Amino acid sequence: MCQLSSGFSPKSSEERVKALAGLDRRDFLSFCSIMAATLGLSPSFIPKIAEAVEKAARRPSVIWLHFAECSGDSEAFIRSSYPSTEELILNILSIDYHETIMAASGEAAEAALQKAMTENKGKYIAVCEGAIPLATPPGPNAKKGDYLTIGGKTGLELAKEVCADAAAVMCVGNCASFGGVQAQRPNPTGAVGIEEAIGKPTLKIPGCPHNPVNSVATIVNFLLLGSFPKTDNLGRPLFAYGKRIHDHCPRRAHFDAGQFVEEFGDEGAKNGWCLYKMGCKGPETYHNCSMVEYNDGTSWPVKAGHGCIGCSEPNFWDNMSPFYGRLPNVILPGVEATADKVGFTLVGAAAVGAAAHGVYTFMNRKKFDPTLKDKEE
Amino acid sequence: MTAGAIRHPGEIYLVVRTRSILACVIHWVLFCSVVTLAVTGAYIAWPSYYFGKGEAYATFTMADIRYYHFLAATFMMTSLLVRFYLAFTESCHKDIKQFLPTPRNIKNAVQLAYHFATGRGKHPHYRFVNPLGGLGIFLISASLFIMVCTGFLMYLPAETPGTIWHSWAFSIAHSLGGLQIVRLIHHVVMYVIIALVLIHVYMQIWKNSVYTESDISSIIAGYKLFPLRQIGHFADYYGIKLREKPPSTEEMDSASEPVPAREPPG
Repeated sequence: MCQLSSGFSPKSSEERVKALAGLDRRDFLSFCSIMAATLGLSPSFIPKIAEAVEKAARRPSVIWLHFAECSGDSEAFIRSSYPSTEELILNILSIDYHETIMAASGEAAEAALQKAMTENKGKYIAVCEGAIPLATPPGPNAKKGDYLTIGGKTGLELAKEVCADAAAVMCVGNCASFGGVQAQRPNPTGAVGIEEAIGKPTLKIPGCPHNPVNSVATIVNFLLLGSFPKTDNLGRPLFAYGKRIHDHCPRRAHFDAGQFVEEFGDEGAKNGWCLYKMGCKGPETYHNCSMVEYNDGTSWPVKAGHGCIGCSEPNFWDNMSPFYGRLPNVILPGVEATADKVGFTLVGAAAVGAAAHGVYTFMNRKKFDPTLKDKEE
Repeated sequence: MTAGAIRHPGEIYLVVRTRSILACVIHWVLFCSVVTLAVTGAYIAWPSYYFGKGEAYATFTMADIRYYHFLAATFMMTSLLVRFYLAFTESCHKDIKQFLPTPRNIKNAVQLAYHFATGRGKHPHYRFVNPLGGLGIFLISASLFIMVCTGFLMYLPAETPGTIWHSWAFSIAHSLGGLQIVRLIHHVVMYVIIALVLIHVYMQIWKNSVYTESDISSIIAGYKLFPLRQIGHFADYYGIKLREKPPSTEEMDSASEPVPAREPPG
């Protein structure tokens, strides 16, 4: 059992809310209104959300697993202050197993995982962070997925075991959702997202890192309605991934005006113009960064003057790169070139071919049609 | 079929209807819209500050140019659609078969390409579209169709999420690898269209100057002009049934004056 949650056990739900360090009713309601706004609900839902969170008969049990990743999503998660870490861990969720923030280690940690799984069988939410390598490493005794081993089990075995009994599987971050950076070319470890590895549909909160507002709002939606929010075809909740960054970008006016940053530090950059020409992938990326921003609404890449790199999209390291170029490169067997180079080659070949044909046929014009001979005679 | 013979200095031509007026109009609507799309598309791909001076509230360059891009796309799609329909009707002589890459068309196109490249072999004449040109038109139409599809895939994400159009566009775009790949396809296929149009225009000018078939007037006015002195030569290829025997080359050459034009009936 995770030491963090077992060390603190308020008696009632109301007490739980009141007992929070530094969290008064005002803060709690402001959290509820942020959730309502994120989920795209009207303000009339704020009291309902407050009620649902307060009166939740049982906080949803969460088992948080780490696979091939950098713990960036956990870092993002524990740095949120609306809701705060304490609130998240103690009141909104019952995080029964989380490798980064729990005190237990070694066998105690393994026992905590087993306990959490048996106690809440079929009811817990498995939150997965990181991709799962499926390739077999070279070596005599290597088996499939050995690139990632936790407590003697491969990542694949662990994921299958934990996700089998879960009420729902939620992938946070791009690695868990779509494989992330380790699944990109040439992908030596054969890394894939959780869904592909376990063969079970998952709810995805991609991002690099994901925005904790979105993962918490998904869980609040679960508390409020007893179901997960409506998702797009990739399994991302529509409230957060329904619109593109470009659709709500604060720099959109400069895009429409035709005012673009040409290089970092130029006059346009100082004026906060559009980063389209700097390779901003906002028009291709479904995410709500431009509305909720990161780190409690402090900032996000485009606000800070850097283009979006499309971190919530599948295979963004391959497809969205070069990050400072507008278009990806054309990659054909043996050739990698920019789209314009390919295009100029095509048009150039056509022009040269036409010119060569013109010259050749002019030189040999008598060979062609009898009508031409008639004309010349 | 034969609209009559007109007089031309030194030569008498047979005027043959090859296209309906509608087909000619559609060709030029398509041409104008594709040129507009290419020019506005080039701005969207490489926007320049030169056109966006002033405060953001007073300038609307990119939005305006995107608007004209979409407007031209509407014209392009409509004319493509109407032309596709006409290809099955009498108005365009049910010419869909001339454009499809059937084995017969491909075989004839290869023969024609060999002749055009080397001058060897016989030049088969075609009244409407020759198989090589038909294949080119097929490739251009297919490329335009890809442009329409990828264009919609980039246009529809701005719609309300959850609507049927939005989710269709979404799933198709992501099955291709995401919007960035769609954008790449849209960009590269434009170069393909430019290359194909370049070849198309070159071949028409070349054909028009080498063979006296007047292909260019056939797309402007819908008529082809055949020199009467070669009418027998052409009639064989076009399957034209002549009411009377055309004058032979010797007869034409021996005549001191050109044969006067026939009076219109009535």
